[in-house]
Amino acid sequence: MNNTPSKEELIISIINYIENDVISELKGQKRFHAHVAKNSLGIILRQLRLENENNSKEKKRLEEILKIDGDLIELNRILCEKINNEEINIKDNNLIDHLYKTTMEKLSIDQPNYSGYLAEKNN
Amino acid sequence: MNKTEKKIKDFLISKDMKFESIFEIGKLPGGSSNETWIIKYNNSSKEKKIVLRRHFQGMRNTDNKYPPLSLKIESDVMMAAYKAEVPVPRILYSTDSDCDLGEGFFMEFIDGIALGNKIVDENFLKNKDVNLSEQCGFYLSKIHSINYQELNSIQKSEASDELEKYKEIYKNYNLSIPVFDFSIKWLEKNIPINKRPCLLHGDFRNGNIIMSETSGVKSILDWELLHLGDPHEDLAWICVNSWRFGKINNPVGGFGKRKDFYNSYEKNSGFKIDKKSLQFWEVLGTLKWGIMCLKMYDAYKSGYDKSVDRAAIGRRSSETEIDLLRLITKEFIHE
Repeated sequence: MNNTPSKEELIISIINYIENDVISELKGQKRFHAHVAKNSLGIILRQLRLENENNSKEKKRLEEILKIDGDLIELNRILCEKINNEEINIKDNNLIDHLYKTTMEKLSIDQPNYSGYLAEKNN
Repeated sequence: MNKTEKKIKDFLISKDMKFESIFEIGKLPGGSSNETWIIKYNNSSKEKKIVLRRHFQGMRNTDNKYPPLSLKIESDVMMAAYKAEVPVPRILYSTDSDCDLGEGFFMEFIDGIALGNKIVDENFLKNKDVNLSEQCGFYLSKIHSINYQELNSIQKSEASDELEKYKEIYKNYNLSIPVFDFSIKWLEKNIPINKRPCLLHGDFRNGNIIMSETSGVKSILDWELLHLGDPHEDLAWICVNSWRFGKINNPVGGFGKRKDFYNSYEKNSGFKIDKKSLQFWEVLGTLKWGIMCLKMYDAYKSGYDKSVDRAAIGRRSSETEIDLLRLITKEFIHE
């Protein structure tokens, strides 16, 4: 399929519409919800751009730590299980390194302006 | 005037004829277990306000595993706090479950600002004669020294109880969030000993404290999570990054420094704060907020609340993940 405009272009057009035409017309809770809607579209936009790359990096790290293959959902389920039953020690540096990287990748999509994300990034 | 508004007006008039002048009654948005109403009336040609808090539709919902605190207990504790010179709204009239309005209470309206993001603003903080952190430390030490033995039926919830409660909520969602499992495991291995069980506010944070630019702390609100427990729980909660409203370098509620807050608390209580206990409770507080975000998203998923913000808040859970990792793996209290 080769439709134009692209998904990204369409989302950006809606973000601009909410920001320039909608928010100024609203008050109170409706205005707040319009802001939230705009931010959610921002999340979708960043996810479209970054998800594939982030997922493949996360999967590679998980396979190295767990020494098995699988899909992301399954690998994360197993990681949680191994943390719970202490097969993996919470002081393990490879684990901590993986958790930091995954969390930072997640926040680069979810909340790239969050103070804790920025503090860690500039560290 | 609808039926409830009429009941409110009738009740108040039966207490004092000045309430004949009531001209507006409105319910504040939000609040699923309790309702808050603002009542406006005239007295000596001045506009006055009072506040009603009552259980949702006047009935305390006890179906839930963690039912809301009885408002009778909430008002008893607020009255005890008032006597102990903690700034809280004065309770004016109580209503019980036999009353038409159901269980609740009327309290005075306090003017000032409670919005967290306004309080962390430089303009709000420019008065250097007021040290909000010191004031918070001072009043928190007063709350913790209230003689709870004189009060009835206050539940105790220690570190392991609180951890168990939030762990269970998280496990019931059947999600695999490795940072949460990692943090729960760390918490289980670091449960502190409570050397001084005391009455806790339970939700002492920026957003629940009315402040003014000129005098600082004016009133401490939202006592519905009060319980007996470890004083470090209250000391840590206000420092959780989620309550700093973006001002990460002001660890106390986004408006102040840890040193001022802790020193003032220690000086007034004579109690030595334990750093390891603080770390435990700041980690648990951060995890609690992360799980609460999931819980709010669950309200969307279940169809209970289809609003755009209930859906989006699920994506704020990851904010707490970076805070958890930093709190656990880096040297604690470097600010």
